Amino acid sequence: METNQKLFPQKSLRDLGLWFVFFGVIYVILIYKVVFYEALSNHLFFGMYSVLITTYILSRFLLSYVHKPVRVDTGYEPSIAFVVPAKNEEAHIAETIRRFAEVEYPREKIEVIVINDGSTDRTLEEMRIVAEEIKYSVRRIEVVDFKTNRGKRYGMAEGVKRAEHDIIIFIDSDSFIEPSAVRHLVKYFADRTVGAVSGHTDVWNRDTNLLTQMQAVRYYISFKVYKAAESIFGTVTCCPGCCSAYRREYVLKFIDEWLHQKFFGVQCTYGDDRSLTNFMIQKYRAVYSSEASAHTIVPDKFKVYVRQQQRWKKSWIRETFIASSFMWKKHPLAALSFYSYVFLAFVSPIVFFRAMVWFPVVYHTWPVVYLSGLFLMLFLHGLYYRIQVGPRAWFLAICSFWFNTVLLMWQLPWAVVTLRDTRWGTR
Amino acid sequence: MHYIDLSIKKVLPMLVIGMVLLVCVVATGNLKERRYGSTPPVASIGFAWQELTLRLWYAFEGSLWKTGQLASAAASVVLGSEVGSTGGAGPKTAQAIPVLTYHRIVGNKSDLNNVTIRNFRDQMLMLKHAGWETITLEEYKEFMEGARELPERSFLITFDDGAKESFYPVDPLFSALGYEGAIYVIANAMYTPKSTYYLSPNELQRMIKTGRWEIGSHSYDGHRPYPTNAAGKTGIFFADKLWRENDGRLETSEEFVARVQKDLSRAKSMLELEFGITVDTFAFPLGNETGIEGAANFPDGAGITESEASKLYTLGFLQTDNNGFTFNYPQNLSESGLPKELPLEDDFSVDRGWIAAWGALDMGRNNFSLRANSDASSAEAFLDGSVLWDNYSFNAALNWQDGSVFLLADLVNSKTYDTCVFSPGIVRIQSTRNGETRVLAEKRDPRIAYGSDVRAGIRVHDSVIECLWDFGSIVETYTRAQAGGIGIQVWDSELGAAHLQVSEILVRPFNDQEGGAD
Repeated sequence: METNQKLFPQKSLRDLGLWFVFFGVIYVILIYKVVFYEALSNHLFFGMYSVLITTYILSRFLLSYVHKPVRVDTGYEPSIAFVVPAKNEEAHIAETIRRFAEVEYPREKIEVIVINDGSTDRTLEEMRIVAEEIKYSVRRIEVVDFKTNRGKRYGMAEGVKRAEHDIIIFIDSDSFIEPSAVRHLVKYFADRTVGAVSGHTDVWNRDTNLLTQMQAVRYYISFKVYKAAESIFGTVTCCPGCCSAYRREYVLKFIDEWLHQKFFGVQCTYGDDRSLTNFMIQKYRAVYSSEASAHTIVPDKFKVYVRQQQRWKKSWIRETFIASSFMWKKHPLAALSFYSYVFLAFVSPIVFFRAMVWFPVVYHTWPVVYLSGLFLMLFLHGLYYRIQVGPRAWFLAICSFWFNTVLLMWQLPWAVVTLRDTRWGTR
Repeated sequence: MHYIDLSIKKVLPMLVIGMVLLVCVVATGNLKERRYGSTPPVASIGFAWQELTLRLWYAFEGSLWKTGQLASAAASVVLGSEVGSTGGAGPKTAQAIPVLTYHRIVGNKSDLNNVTIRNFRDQMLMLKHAGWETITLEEYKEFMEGARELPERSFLITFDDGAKESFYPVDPLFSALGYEGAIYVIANAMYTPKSTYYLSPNELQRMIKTGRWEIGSHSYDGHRPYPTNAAGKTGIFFADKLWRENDGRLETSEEFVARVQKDLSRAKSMLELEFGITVDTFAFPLGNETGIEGAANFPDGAGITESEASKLYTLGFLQTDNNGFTFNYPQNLSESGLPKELPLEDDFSVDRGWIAAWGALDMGRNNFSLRANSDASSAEAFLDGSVLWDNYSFNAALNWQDGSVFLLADLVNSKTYDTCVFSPGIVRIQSTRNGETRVLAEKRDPRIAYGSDVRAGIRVHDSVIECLWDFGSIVETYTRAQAGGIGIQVWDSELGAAHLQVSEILVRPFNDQEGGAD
């Protein structure tokens, strides 16, 4: 099994060469922008987009580079509670729970609360068997059984309410935590301003097919680069459910408000993690711990993947809308980054439409510049992954990432249109 | 900002890399500006790529060729055979210099003006392998003034218009072959902003620096069609009187002269100022149309342009109809088009460069058979490489069975020559100038008759044209106007019937002949 990634690149000659290529690609991107800016500068709006997106992406790499990891302080050992809501997860739930017994943390400071959210399969039985199995490795394990399905958010809230310990660690029922992760999550809470810590999650079923390989690159980059960049300002916008820690004391302050959250009069039934983080960062900090490693299972079928992405997009729109109301109070750079990203996300489908449909139809030009520019950017991400993680099917993954980006560009506008549709559409 | 590490150890490398990247980007911009001027960036990349790939390819090809040469040399040493060097009698000096005139060297679709990269490469390689070397404009000028001798196989290459495609596909080959060229720039066009077609001043500057290129004037702005009447009918800048919109009339002759003068001197001074060089040569715009065929409303126009140009420039290149002479065609430049020396005896055992102007010429073994096409009454052939001759006698042994035989001398092109026309019982001396023929003299003589082995001839020297029968003079005239080469024509009143066989010809210098006539 793949263990934690190396935090710093090996000082080998090959890595040096790869880093050279990495900066070479940045050089090409800069030249590319200078060359084509002239063409875009006729149109202020699209010229701005072009400059902004490059600046945004390169600044993420730069910020993640100066992101400072915190040392583990063995003198600081708050008690922790693993909370795992699960529905119809009989295949993985046992492994998910079993791993809590192996974490490197004092036994008496661990409690485990697993919630069966009205499963129709053997999930509950699995939970009970493993609970029995590991009960001596933790201070306390509790299996909660919802007779009928109430939703992930209720499960999470139930776990928080029943927990007795200080730090809640949410683990998705298809995610697996590494033994060393707990200390790396907990260490940040020594700072009283920190309310939530996101762990680093990689893809468990990476080698299943091209789709999962692509997601592996995506996960890695979105954590290692984008979350790390947000973390500098304590404004990580999403501490995902697969592996994140929250300070119970703070969560309890808004848990009911969160549980009954409504958006334009509609009960929110997805994006629970993003929503919870959003409540947290209004008053406290949310950071990212790149050493706190976990793995999660990702969709290996395109249809399921698309539905998942669609759900994420919707919750992103909702929570971004909410976050927009207070982000300006944060550090100016954090605010600038946030609003830039919002702008870019909403404009990118327009740019896409302009390059891929409007120009080819009206002016009979091929979208070579747009597609190659997009590819260059993704190639840069792929190279970073290749350097940090090692020789995988990274290039192919990048190609498919590129392809998917083009293919799924309609998702954000579509998510806006269907925002009020609350069905999960998956599972 | 709790979780940020801004220690020197962390920041310094990134600062250095950032600076390096910045320097690289700025340096790239500077390099592009210096080498490509106002060329759009994408086009610059395209031309840079073309130049680079061609350089690599020609270097590769060159090394292959050299290896091949070495191998064959080694093989011939081993096998004891001679290394085939054709140069026997030592280096000769050139009597004429062909000027190859190109426009653009294009990717894959050639047209009237433009040659493909592949063809151009083939032409240059063939010339190189046949021992031809390029010369500079200065050498050409001195040669034309008679102040310089040049090796026999010397030629000049020019490119009109100053287009990018005259440089990027060409220079790699020139550099590989050690050739050089002259580019004739339209002074106004090089300032076309963001042009992907014309070379910008920076690019031209770079060309000069390579030492492989010289710059000449191709006018300031004389290429576009200009209106010659109110309705917008267009004419030629350097040959027609143009319409003056404001005055509602055609310009006067004085205005024409002033306009041409201004354009010519502006082109010269602009190029000299821009590049700090002397521009002493001029290529007339629009090739031959400038003077010869284009003039529509002002017959003197082209002539005025020529005389005005000659006041400003030492050399002017004016393309004329070459009428089949091959010396300016690279595919024939190697052999048959070379200036030939006198005396010349030809029994047609080898091809010495006879070319059919029209009709069919069969050059089988020891045979010269000229025949009119089925829809024509005559056929003509001429000897390539003879155009520089002067003062000679030209005799031919004929198998003459019907029609009339024309022996051509002083041939400049197929519209300008002197001729003796032999018909049974009569011979005429005719002079043809630009397609217009005058009869200069005529003589009846019963000796002139059909036969399977008759001797007819024409002798030209000083101002004399003589017709010969059996090597004896029959008729002469004293109004010869120009020198030139030789040719043979045959005519019959019936379509497709004209035909003639020649078994041998003999051309001797006129002076020689007085001493040792046989």
